[in-house]
Amino acid sequence: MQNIIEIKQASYKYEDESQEVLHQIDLNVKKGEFLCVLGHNGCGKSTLAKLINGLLIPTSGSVTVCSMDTRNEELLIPIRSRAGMVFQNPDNQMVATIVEEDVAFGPENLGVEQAELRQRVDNALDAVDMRQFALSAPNRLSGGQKQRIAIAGIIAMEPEIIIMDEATSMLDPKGRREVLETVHRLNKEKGITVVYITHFMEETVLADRIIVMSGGKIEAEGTPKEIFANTEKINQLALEVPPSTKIAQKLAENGFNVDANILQPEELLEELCQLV
Amino acid sequence: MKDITLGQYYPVKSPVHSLDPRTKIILTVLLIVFVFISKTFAGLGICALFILLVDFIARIPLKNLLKSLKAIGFIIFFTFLLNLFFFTQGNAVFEYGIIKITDSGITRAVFMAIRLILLIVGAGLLTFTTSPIELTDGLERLFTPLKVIGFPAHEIAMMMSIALRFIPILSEETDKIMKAQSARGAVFDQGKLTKRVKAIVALLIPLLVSAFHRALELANAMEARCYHGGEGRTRLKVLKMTKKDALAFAIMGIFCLIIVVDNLILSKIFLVG
Amino acid sequence: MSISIKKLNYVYDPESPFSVAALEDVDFSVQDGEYVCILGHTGSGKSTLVQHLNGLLKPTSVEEMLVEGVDLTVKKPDMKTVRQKVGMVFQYPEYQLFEETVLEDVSFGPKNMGLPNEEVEKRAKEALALVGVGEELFSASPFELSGGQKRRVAIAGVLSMKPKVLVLDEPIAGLDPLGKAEILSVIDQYHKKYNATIIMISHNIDDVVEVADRIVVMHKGRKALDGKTEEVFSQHERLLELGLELPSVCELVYRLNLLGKNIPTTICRIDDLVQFVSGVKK
Repeated sequence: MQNIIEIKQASYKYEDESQEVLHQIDLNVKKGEFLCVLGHNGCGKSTLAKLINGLLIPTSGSVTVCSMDTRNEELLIPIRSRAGMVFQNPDNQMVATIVEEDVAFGPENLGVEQAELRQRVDNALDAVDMRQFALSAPNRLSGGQKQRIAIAGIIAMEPEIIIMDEATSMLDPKGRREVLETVHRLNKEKGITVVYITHFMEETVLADRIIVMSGGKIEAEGTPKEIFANTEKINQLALEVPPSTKIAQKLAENGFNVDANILQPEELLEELCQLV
Repeated sequence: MKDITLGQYYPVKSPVHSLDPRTKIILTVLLIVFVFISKTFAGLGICALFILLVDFIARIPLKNLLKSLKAIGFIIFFTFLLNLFFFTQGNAVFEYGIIKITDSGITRAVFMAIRLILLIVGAGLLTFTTSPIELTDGLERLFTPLKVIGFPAHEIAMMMSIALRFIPILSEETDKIMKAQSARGAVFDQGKLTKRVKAIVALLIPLLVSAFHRALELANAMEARCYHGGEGRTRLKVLKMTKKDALAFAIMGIFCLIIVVDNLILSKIFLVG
Repeated sequence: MSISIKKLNYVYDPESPFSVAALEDVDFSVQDGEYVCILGHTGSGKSTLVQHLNGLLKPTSVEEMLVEGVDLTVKKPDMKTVRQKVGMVFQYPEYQLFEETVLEDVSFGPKNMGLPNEEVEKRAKEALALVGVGEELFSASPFELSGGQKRRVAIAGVLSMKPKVLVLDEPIAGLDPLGKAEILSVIDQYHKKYNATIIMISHNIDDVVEVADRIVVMHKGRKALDGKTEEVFSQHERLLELGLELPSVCELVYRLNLLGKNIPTTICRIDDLVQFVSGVKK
């Protein structure tokens, strides 16, 4: 599989700060991959996300998205249309007062012709299962619904990558589930590459790969199983393990024959069936 | 708090509501002009009838329409008094010291008051039948030709629509911060002035910080969605003039003609202004 | 008794045709020193309920409403006292910070109480110590702090009033695991140190189950469930019916029982589960 994102030795420093927030990051993301990025607040993961769609340009090193270098200013619009980004606060990323017009905002900026625009907006709303809200005011939607509209706004640009920058952190459990399911479906059905930044460990268990960031560097990388097996490292990085893993570990600690590396409730259920 | 209606838009379905916003803006301007140039009571009467007719077609309760007068009732009254006392031509009907009220002064004061009322109500028809967002769209398209002389039509429209989007959010936020500071003992509506000022500061600073923060995030989000100004932008919603709009223009034409005729003929008989 | 409310009704915009009943006949009593968590969907009325506790909202009708000895049903209730006794931490409280320095911001509440200056400062410093904000930050601008620090300073701004009842609306929303743990520990310390009553709204059900003595579930403006933590969480089907998540352990127990196992439904915490499995093995 080819790399759709290639980050080489990328560093970033905000102008008014003395320290780098990102330090010589090397990261490749494969086409169609579901990559989760973990790390505590201020570890540089949001900056990383902004490097990928050219909102920020690395102070040194390079970021290449769909074979386009973000340092080339002329390519910024094509790069952003290939790599769409959903932000944390649902309210602060909606521009229009009507849902379908908000979804149209991206493709409008790209100059998509009216007939195709209509088609794209309708398809995008279908893709996130929000067609019935096309003419609603965003104020009337729940947090989860707003984030699905934000996703639709990106789908309408026909992207290859979606970057979710803590997009579920302000949602309730129901909203979180809706958004996560939507992104997984788009990843499977449309083959869209996903870069998913989150604080919720249980959201990462179905990822293809996880990277854990700390102090502007990638501190760990691997499949969810590999990452959460290293409890020591997880604690050291001020993270936690997913709830099912936590329970399994507690049981194992108490001398029961339980695989402490399981991630999903289903696996834990199977193990427990043997025990009780 | 989520259902703050902005301005006075009255959301029903009617032939007037479904007109192109540009049509409505142009026709409203025409209406205002013709209310201004009407020189007779008959002319104003025709204008009033016309406004009532449009209001009826637009299915807006007259009561609501007249409510918009409340806010400027004082100005109407003031204009009335001004004309009453300072128009000194004609026969005096009342004199006391320097105060002199004449018959033509009374006529003129009444005339001006009615004209003002019609202006407000006429302009009100536009805002009652056109949502703020349609209005923004309409204004943007109407002013687009002015881009040639550097008029930022798109930018202004964009700002207006973002403002419309964020007014309910910020008003909800105001409510929340007020509650949070009240919970910390801030008192907004009573007590010493210094304490009240402090309370207002405790509301305004967080509100400003938050608005600024939101603005930065929104700018980021817009940029991430490829926003780069109005150039080369297409629009999902395209405004289209239809037969209805043509009909509206035709009706307006007839109305204007009547006023012109009225001015030419009747004004010779009952000239007031 | 810390709080005693009977038949509380609250209607938004009662005059308008859009009026919505936000609370219907809600009874809500809390004992001194209880740790109560309120669950429910967005719009279930939980925030509306807690905003009544210090008079920020006035009931449309109520039979009885006593909060820390203050009768809120009278025409002019003693707002000053009730606002001191009931501290309220709103969602994303960092958005209420406004002073030039951290210390001044935390002093805002006690100052409004009309306390002498030394007492104000003493309380502010105590509260900051409790939330783990060190002296080196006292004169920093609250706007320069990190997200987790801002949240703790904002909470200190309420704790400095030494409320008997601490109400928190989603205090850990949007924080990373470390930030979450810090805030929960601050709340726990305050609860234990001052025998304070805690009323917390939260969606983080796995945290709720570990800290709460009692759970109240709101649903469509009514109180749907109310009882001891293990009692409420033992009603798996009812909770699912209300569209709520189960704590991870309850979810397991629920599914194991569906598979024909016979596990007590009152098991809701990890330790309970470990203990139970130990019992089975022996």
